[in-house]
Amino acid sequence: MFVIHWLTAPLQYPFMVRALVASVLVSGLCAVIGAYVVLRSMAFLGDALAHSVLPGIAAGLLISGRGDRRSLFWWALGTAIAVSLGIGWIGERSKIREDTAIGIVFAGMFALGVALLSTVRGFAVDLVHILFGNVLGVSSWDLVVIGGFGAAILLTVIFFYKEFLVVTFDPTLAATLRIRAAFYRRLLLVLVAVVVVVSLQTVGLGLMLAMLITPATTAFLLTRRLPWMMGTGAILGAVSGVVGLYLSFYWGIASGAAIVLVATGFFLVSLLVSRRRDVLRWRLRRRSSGQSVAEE
Amino acid sequence: MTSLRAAAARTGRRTTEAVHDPDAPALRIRNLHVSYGERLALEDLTFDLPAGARLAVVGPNGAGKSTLLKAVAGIVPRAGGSIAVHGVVPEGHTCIAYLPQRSEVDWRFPVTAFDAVMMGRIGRLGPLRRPKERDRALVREALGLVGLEDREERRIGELSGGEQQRMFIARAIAQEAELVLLDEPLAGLDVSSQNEVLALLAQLRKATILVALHDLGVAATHFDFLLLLRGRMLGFGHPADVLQPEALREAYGGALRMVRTEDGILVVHDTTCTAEDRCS
Repeated sequence: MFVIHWLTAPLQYPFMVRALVASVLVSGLCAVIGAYVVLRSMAFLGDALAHSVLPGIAAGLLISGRGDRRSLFWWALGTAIAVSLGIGWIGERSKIREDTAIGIVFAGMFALGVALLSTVRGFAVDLVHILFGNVLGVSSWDLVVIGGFGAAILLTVIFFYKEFLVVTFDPTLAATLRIRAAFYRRLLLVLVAVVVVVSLQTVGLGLMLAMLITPATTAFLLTRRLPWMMGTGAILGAVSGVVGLYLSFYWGIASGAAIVLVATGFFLVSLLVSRRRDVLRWRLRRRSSGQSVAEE
Repeated sequence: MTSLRAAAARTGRRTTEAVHDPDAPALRIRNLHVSYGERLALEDLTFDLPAGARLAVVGPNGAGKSTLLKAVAGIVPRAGGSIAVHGVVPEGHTCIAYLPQRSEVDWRFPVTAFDAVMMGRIGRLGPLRRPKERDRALVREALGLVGLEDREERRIGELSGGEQQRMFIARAIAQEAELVLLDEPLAGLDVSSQNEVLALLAQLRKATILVALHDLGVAATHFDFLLLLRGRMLGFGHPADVLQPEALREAYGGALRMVRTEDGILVVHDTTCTAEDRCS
């Protein structure tokens, strides 16, 4: 009885129900797109995108006022998409290495955001929310936005699954198969940007990167095919979201941090499990055939 | 820069498969120049290759072997001259398979051998189409032809080096490629795996094959045509005609020792690295 009460007690509060729904949706979404981020080694880009949203939010605050959270979302979305396309453009056209370009754009944008915010009176409170998120403050409108954009992102991934697969695996192969690699690369960047902005409310800028890469990497260690990696990552992310929120509810830990810590725990366990499994598999194969090991 | 952008636009655009000119050779290259920034990687290359021919491209490191293959695949821009594959510029074709050096592939990527070979079908499918039973049958058949039927569920990183190279060849077969470009397919393989790969290449009778190679001995014994390269063409033709002491000395400099044996065959020790060569 105690366990059931322990589980259902938080559900009396509508804000907790909304927070649970939001974190399950966001974590799942992040893991699917995060699979591409991990496989293309774009972790830095994901982090940069999250941070470069700040000036958009600051501009929104200055122009449309503090109370209007909905317009802030659109400001953030516009900024993220512009930055992702800008980084892609610099990477393709310039002599500068892509990670350097990302670093410059990201730091510059973040500084611009802080500069703009510092002109707003009492910005500190807003900044805390933007940096760390506030999943407990998710509104019904936020849920509609997360659900709508989430569905659009998943459909895009399903429709262009094989193109994204080839572009991520081997850009040279994509070119010889005459796939429009540049187009799909940019589309993927836009998807990352949208996921980042949609997810900001739950974990904030500071922990956004963890949601993108931690469950996806855990799934990478446990699975052997991309669709399984995405599915496993989504489940792990969703479970992290729920467990993290319960920890947050009962122990008073900041919700975003709790979610990320649970996801990190899963990662550490999978690291140990997969290490042990690989050793076992290698021993089994050596026993079954001396031939294949000789080749390796 | 303009040509680079134009080439990117050309390769970027989704094209319908180019119509082959039956009277044109499989590959016709005229005064080809390719440059990376300031540096000229290939200079004034001109040769024809008939359909079904197998050509080994040899030369020291940095001679432009990979560059030539990539130019023929239509994935690096031409600075001058022309390439025609069955009479049409390479960018119009989906029948060209480029098999990269194994070191250029991310082998940790979560795909199975089956998935990786299926990628060869993707150019044929076009956007928004899913692989059908016929595609799956072609992929299984290709895996069978290269002897990997029992490996199709293995993650690509779990395959041995020889199996990985054979998987690439299966991908070219599944792609129904008519021009197959292989970049150093024997690098890092033990002798028995090398022989398996060479035997497979010999079976690909329908396709025209270009192979970048280090090993002059293999090039001389397994190929109909040989192209000796060091930025520019130092010889093209039948292996015995190309492997002449003067041309080899020009290609490899002092790094090469040649020994005449009783029946007049040249035995060549190729360390591939000369003092003035940039060894990468």
